[in-house]
Amino acid sequence: MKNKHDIWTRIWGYRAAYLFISPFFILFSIFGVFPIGFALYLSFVKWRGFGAMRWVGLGNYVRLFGDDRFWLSIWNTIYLWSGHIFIMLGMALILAVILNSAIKMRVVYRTIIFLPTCAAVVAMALVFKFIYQYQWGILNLVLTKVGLSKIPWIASTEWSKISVILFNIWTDTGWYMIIYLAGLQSINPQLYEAAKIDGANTLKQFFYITIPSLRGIIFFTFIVETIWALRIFTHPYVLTRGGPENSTLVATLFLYKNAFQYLRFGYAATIGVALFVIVLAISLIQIKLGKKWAEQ
Amino acid sequence: MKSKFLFLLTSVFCVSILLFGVSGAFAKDTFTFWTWGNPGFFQDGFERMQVAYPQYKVVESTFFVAGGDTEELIQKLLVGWVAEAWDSLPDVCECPTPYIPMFADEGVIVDLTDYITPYADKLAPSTLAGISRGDRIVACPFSPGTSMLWYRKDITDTAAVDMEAIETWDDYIDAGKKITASGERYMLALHVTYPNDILIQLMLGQQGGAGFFDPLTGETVVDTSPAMKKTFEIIAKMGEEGIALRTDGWESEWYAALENGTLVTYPSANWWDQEMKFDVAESEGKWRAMQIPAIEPGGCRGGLESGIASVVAMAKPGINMDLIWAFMEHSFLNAEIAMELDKVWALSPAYLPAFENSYYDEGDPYYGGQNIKKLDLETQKIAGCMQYTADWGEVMYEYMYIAQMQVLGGRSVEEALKEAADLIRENIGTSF
Repeated sequence: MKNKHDIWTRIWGYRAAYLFISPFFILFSIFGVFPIGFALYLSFVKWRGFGAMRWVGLGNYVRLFGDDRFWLSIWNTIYLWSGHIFIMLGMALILAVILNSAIKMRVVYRTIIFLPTCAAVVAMALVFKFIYQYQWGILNLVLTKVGLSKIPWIASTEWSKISVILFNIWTDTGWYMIIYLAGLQSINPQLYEAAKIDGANTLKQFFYITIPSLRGIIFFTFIVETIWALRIFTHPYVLTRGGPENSTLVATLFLYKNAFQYLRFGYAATIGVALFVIVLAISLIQIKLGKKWAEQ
Repeated sequence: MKSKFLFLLTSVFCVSILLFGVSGAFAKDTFTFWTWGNPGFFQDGFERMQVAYPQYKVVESTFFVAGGDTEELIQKLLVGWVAEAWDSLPDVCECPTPYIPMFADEGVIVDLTDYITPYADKLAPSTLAGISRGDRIVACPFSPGTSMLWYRKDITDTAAVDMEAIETWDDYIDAGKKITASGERYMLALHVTYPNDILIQLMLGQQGGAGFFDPLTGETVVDTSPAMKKTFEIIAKMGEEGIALRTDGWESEWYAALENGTLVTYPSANWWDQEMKFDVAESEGKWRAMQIPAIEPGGCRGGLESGIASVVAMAKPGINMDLIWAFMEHSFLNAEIAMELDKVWALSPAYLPAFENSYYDEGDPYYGGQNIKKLDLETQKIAGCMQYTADWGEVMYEYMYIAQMQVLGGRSVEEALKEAADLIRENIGTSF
């Protein structure tokens, strides 16, 4: 009892300081803690938004684990992640190394490659939708000009994921290239000079100096891009709306459809909670495995 | 000096807050309307009402585009409703027909039965069905999505296809085979990333207003309804016979196909008559319209696409029903005004007496002088409206889509519909 009284006395003593930091905590409670707590609560109810909530306990979770579309959306998300992350980060690193060397007009190249990062994803997706069109799309026009047959880029289950992956690579490579460029510029040039004297060629310098020096940054970009990829929404939403036949239905799109198209807020919240757990688990595994590698 | 200045500043601040707080008490009558379409149409109706009802001249009105589509509008309504932010919600709102059952059941919209009943016999039966929930009328209609089969007369003539001789969907498919024989043209488009919801709605509508659920038990009838089976068999046949271009509607590729004659027909609704003038303007004079083919010889040749464009009164506290009804009745259930609004905004009226005006005897130059409006009226009278329930969207865009893709991919209609029905039973259960 006495301790409690002491705490309040100490808080009162620092009341001015607490008052100054309170706006953050108040806003965070309203816009951060409350929605998270409410989403967790929603995952145990059936609610359409306009009517009353009905408590269903673990009903939504039981349904979720038996819902093939949920597992399909998770599979699609992982497919899109694995299909682009290694290629994209690899390309970004190679481009960064090339554009860090003394080539002509490197600033222009850097700008061009970075440019897609500055543009609105929705606008770019609409342009890509046009490029991917079957009948008169630019890509198929080029293919037919060189004697190949047309590809139903976003109109077939076989190609739709690849189309989303290609678009994703195009939009984000520039961003990671810039991060790697910053990392490359912090490497001590004397390391390369010493390696040259020791007779190391460019490839050896890359694998024995560049990569080890960038380990921390590569690890960071891998984690960040993984989290982004697990939350991917705009790319498949604008390009394919999750189709054809749910072939590009990702977890966030599945959540969105349930919440805002079918007004199943309880079930959508359950998907959100499940997605949070999955992202957390993958991130923890990555951190555990990657930390050792990054610290070597 | 400093303390005086601070005192003055604090006083000004307090007075401002006080004035802001009590400003509502001095506010004039207001009227807020939400739409996802053209607010000008509704504003025009409201202003005409203000002329007829001088007591509402001082009402401050706002006509707001609450999103580019129905989904966005519903989301905004939902947020306001859940937060009980009544001031932020509209008094009247355009309402998509599939949401009417849920809104009516949850008490979101006002029961208009007593207001609209005197006009019921001047509305088409399908219109009345679409705005009703059981024996209650809960929305005021202004334009039904009457079915129309739009076709390129120049191309069908060249291919020696007599469109007027087409009576059933089977005849339509046979005509399509002739059209596609050249390898350059297609009879219609079948979507890829979302269902052919228009075709499904029209065909279910013309088969006595069938739906996805039994209206009495709420159980799904997707795998037992003969109307559903027939609808899917026709769509499957369209795919099998190769008469369809597989592309999504409303995309640049689809517009181009309509403009350059790759797509020869478009089964859709009456509102497309004006869209076409802007979106495929270069093919002026080449398009005509006819009633959609029947399922069986002698069958119904009309359905409704997306039900009936209608407005609802939000059941929020403090609404002025006299004002709301004056707006609805004067704008949409008045023959003269409904016709005038159609003249300006090109939205075929739901109120049938409006068609008695000589304006509806005129042909349309874009359609080679054909009288589209008369065709609209004839179809409106016979059209059926599919049955909508609260889960309509999920069934259509989830399960019907997959089933449709499966039958277009060669799977049997029975199997595809059985699987869809099982998923509906598992994930939705009953729906009314």
